[in-house]
Amino acid sequence: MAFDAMSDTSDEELLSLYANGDQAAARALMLRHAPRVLSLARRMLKDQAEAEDVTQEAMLRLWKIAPDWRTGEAKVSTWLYRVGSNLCTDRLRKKRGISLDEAPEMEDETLNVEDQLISADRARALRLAMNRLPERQKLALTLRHFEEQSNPEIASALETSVEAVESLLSRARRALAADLSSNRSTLGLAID
Amino acid sequence: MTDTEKHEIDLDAFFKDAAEPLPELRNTLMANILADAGEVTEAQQVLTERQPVKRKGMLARLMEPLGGIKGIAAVCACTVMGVTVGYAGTDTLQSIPGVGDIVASISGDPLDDFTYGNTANFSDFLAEG
Repeated sequence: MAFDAMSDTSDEELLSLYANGDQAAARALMLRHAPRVLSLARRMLKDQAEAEDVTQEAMLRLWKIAPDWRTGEAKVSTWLYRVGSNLCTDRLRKKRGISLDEAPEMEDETLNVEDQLISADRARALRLAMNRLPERQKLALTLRHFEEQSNPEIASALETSVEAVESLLSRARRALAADLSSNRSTLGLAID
Repeated sequence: MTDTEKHEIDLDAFFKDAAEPLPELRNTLMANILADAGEVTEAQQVLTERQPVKRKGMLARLMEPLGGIKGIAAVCACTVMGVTVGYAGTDTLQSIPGVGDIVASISGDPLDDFTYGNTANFSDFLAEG
């Protein structure tokens, strides 16, 4: 079956087709989901090559689980976000050699404030501020605001409760707002 | 978002500015992902082909021509019954609950009517050994 003919086919059906050997279904799933995993991984890892590795690995795990996929248990997109975010977290941990709970803030990329003053804009300021957040907060914000996932979907991806996600997002927003507020003068931001 | 969460900053505006279109997959990445998909399919097919066929045991194979365990059980039961009646005579049948009434309803010795070579009845044949 051609990819175009599969645009209306559900993820579960595509997985089932792939599990029966249909490589066109694999291609359809890849084109549908891999860019989202890549987007998440790039935001988390800030490294194109590593983000691509994570994307490939996440998709590989999807291929392997396809024959055992239980329809209705989880959405493919949420499952991939979970796998992708776990892979990103593992890589970040290995880089630092410490657990996430103990993880300090990201390397401050705003040290060169002069550059910021010259070319500051909201997007860059936000990215930099997010980089200073703990991984899970950053991940939750990324899934919520860039990947447009609902709180229950984020909870599933992070393997936690919806209440915990709400708390995580709330703390992340507060930290982000405080960070941006404190730097608004140095960054020359047009805040409102 | 509540007012308290805004903290004097419109975060949504920041997120909107920072939003990016989904990245395009490079050809090499797509090729790698699809190659993985092909390999996983092949590996799973090999695994399926290698699934051992469940073979029957030797006893089961020996019993199969006779109808399996049920057939063997029926043959054994009939054999035991036949040998018992053959040695002890039909009188023993009357001592079996339920069977005795049936035997009693039959007048005389039904085996007496069975002749062997038109010369002797079955009881005589048994008596001769």
